[in-house]
Amino acid sequence: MTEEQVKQIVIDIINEIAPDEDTSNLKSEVNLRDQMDLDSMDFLDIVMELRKQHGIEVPEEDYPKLASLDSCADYLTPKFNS
Amino acid sequence: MTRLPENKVSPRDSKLNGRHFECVIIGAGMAGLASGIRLALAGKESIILERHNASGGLNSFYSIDGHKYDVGLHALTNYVPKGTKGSPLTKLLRQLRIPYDALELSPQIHSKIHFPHCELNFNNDFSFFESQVAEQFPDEIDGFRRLVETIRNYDALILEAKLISTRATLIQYFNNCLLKSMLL
Repeated sequence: MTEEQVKQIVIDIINEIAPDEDTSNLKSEVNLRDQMDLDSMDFLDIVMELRKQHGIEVPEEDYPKLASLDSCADYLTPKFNS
Repeated sequence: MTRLPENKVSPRDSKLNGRHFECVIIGAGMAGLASGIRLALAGKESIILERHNASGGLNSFYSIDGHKYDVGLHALTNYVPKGTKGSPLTKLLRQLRIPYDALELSPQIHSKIHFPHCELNFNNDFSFFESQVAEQFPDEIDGFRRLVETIRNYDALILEAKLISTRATLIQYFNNCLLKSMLL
């Protein structure tokens, strides 16, 4: 799986948990929280959906690695491919 | 939700038929229903048990001639229009995945906090409430604005937050005991 595909998976999850947010112009390198109205509970939901939909486990100490789409791709792509 | 009338149906005889659940929630009040939704979203096999014949707990309803009357909440003070960002209502609906339109909300017309020699009126326009405080408690309006600013900047959903007393917090912003009591 490519980094672009992983970013799309994260965007799809955000669309699901926060349908009112506009995800069409997200900047990859900028923190998601600076671009959208997401709080810590929303990040828990992203982690929950990664586990439910894709069997990916993100331990709590790694939550900061989901800050931006770029950091999500860096962190999650090896997990998707392993 | 499964109803288990006392002494009538045992779990063994009911439709549950020995089915296994990872989580059992007792009581279909606000907290029970919200927990059930969140647990189901997290993929847990969950069941909510309620012995009454209607859900809602303290926020239930009764029916007369086919019309339902709420007995719990009478007004939603955190009402915001659809799509308002960063508000508690928007966050709650998102966490429970309830579409805004499903609640069929209307802004409240008028409410008041009525004490023997003083009253504060409010509706869903917060600036109106602020003007009421300024009118009734001119010496305290600066403290009121500082309190509002603190609450706006406070992340109520942060998981590691410690519980703090409302009364102890109000003391830091106001001298007037009547205003403190009215806000409580």
